Amino acid sequence: MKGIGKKAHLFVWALLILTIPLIAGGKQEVPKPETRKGEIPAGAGGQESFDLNALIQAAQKEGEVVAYFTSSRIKDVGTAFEKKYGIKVKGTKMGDPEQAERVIREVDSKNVLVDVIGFEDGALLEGKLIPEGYVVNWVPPDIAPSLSPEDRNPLVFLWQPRIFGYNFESYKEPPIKNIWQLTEPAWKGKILIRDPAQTPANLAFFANIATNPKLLEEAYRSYYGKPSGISEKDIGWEFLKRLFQNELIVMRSDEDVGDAVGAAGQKEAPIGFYTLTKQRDNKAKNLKLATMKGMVPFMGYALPTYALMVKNCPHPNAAKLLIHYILSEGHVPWTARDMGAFSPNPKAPPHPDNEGTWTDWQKRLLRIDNKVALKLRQEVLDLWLEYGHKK
Amino acid sequence: MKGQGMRIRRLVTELRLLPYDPTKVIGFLLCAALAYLILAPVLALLLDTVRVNLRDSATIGIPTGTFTTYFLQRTFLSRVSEVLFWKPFWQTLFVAGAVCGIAIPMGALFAWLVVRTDLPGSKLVSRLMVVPYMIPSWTFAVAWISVFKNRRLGGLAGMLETMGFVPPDWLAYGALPIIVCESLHVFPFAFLLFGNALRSMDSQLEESARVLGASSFTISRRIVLPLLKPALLSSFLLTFSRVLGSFGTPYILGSGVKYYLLPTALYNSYKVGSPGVAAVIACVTVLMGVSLVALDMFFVREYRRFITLGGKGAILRKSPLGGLTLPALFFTLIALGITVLIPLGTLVLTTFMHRPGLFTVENFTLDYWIGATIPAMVGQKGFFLNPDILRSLKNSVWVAGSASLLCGFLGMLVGYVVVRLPKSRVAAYLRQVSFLPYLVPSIGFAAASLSFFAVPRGPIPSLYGSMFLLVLVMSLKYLPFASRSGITAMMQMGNEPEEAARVCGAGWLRRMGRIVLPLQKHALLTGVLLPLISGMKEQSLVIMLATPGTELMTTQILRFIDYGYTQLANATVVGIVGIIFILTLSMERLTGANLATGFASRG
Repeated sequence: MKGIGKKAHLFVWALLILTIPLIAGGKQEVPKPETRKGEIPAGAGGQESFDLNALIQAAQKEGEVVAYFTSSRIKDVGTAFEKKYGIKVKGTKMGDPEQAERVIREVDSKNVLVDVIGFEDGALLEGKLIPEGYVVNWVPPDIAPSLSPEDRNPLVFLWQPRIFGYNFESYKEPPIKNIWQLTEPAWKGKILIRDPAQTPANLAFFANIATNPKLLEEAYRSYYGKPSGISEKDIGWEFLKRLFQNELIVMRSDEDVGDAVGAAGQKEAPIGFYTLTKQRDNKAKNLKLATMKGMVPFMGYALPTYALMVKNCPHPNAAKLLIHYILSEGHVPWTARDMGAFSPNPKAPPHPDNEGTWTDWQKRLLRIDNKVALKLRQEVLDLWLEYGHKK
Repeated sequence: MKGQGMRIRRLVTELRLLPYDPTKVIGFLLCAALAYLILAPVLALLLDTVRVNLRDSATIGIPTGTFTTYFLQRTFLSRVSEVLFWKPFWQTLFVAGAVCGIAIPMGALFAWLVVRTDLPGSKLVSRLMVVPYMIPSWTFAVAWISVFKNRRLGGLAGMLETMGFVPPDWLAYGALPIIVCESLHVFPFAFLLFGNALRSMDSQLEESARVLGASSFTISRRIVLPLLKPALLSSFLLTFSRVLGSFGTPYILGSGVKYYLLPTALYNSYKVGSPGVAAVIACVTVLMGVSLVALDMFFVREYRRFITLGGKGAILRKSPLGGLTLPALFFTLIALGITVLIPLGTLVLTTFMHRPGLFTVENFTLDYWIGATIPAMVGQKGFFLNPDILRSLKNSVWVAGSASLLCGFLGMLVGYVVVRLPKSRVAAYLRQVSFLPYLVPSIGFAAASLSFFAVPRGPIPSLYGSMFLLVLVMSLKYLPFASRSGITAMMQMGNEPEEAARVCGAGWLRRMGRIVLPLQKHALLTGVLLPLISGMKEQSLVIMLATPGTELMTTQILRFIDYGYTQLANATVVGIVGIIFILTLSMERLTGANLATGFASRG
């Protein structure tokens, strides 16, 4: 019996060694770019070569389009799109990390299921997914001229302010006037935020805070009445560290944050960081949300949602038509119909409750530099893991 | 030279006989298949701990495919390793230890009450005691969160908060509820193991000791405890490995307060986009699983060396409870209520209420079961109309059904080869490899399979996002049980009927179809039904594999919980529990097997 055991072990090892090439050989070759049959040429920015009707016809032949979006509004967009073009939209709400994981897996496995992504992680997009060819940036040529250049690459279809907000039943006026107040003991354990570890856009925001020392120093001086004495290199990181140490409460979604901050009948309600659109629920859910008006140096950041085609997607024309649809002025209401949602297409009408135009809002918000975000994200994440998880 | 000629001639003969006895060929094919399906993914997982993948390369700036120690350092030695690994690691040990501390005494106590005392209705009690193990482990967590949830998680308030009492965080989330819920789920293990041990313990041993003047303390220390030691150790190790492998409970109860155990820490790292760290954690869970099983085997072997022999048949004397009968019965009923009735009752109740905990007439509703629209949940329908639920139900049935068929078939095949080629290398190898998935905790096994099968390899296309991947992984994970029962079943069937058929000229397929399978009908049925039941409630294994199109009922529950759709989540749980009850009862009917004994035997 003993001898057999030994031989069996040898046998197992031999098989193990045999399997190694199988595992190591799992990498696929780089696929060549190809023009696929039936795909209407993009017409590289040239307006004359773009024929919307041809696109519509080709898209209708494909019959459906699959989309992963960070927002549940994909459902409404889908219904409206189907009504207009008769093309079914299979839309799923999905966070950025999961979308990225899926797109990479699908493209790598040459089994692409999804056509369009509505994605918020600009850093990963610009740093990896676009340069390595996982997704394709397509700007509808007829709409491109009305978009500002920085909204075209990658293509933004929705701008939202993600801001600090409070409960107006609980506080007569905005309780936070200066960003440094967030690091004060008075707000320990009373700031709600969607989990930064799982929200790349929030990490990008923090990374961009770290690279804006001048704004932070100015804010420090105006709040404490004296210079911070922290070096320009460190002040951003010092702010983040103090903020993370202040026991931020982590939630799964901005919706949860908005609900918890805005719930009626609270005394000393917590404050929160969420997208302005949550304020639309004030009526439906009897919430008491208000924005931190006049907060120095900014109330939050401008959150872009990008729309891109996935490489070798099964329904390329329907994908283009969907992207065209969510940007065109007549249909923008479906993506930017709520308060707090702005279309990059200036012809689209803004919502009356928006507390100003997108130009006004941009002055209140920090604009994210995706390159900074890509470079510093891991460092910010580590800082968050280190200080944000201590009790 | 002569020997070589003989060898060739023998080979020729063997080749000629092949159609009649393809056992060896099947054996080799099985070996190759299992190497590819089980060994290779685990090796790939090991490789993932030192090789950069695309998503990590985006954040850490090392090119994809480079070999690196970055992930090992980050997991074990960096400034964030405390959060990523060490804290979850120690918390896992702590929770597992605490669960052992609660579940084992609880199980032992009830086993003693049922086996060694004249507790009235002990038969029924012993059947009901197994129910908490029958229902999915995370049922308790879902019920707990429906009751104790507070504002911290946002969304719909828990029952208690609605009734005016706001549960503190330590009661609502984290260590305490996880320990309680896991204990409620696993104590039947200890109950069964101790029950068996007590049943086989001869009361004459104790009586002789008493006659010889030993105090009851001496008796329990010198006789009872040593005899129960194997049961104690086994339940300890089993409980430990259950906690190590369970995902749903710590996910539901721990995430809100950042209280992570290894399975949730692994999942988190994966979700956040660092698959490298996730692979390292997965490997740690695999290592822990392997050492637990090794320990278990060691102890079992140790204790086999000591067998209590008695000249007379063992006598099982039941001690009378006397005046304690009523309190004991009362206590048992309370325990059954806490472990079965209250959790399930709460879940059912919440599905009929708009705001769980608000007991007014207008708050009661059937919307969550048959509503075409639900006022508080935009775009959602009640259970029986909800396309997400119905699709996940279909998927669950399909996946668990195919997996159990595949698994039962593979198990039989392994059993056939192992028994027909005794003492061969093939048999030894098959025994070992088919047992391997047992050592690997579910979520680690899923991680391994995901990274291995997500890309096309040779003739096999990428399985990412396909239903087949779920079927495959599930049938492999349950293979240890199926192959063990296959081996046992085949052992009991002699070679003679097959040989007789062969003499009459029957080919292999014919023999299989007409003799082996009919004879093994019973074993095959059990070998299919058990994985089917486990598959319907599987969550840890599939959480990383299910995609929007391939969502199963169990993963759909977590989606509902994430979106705050409490009632729909609870209705889905109730649905699964109902299905499992029906399946279990019909299995008992069909096979005459008692589930209690089926779960107790393992390995």
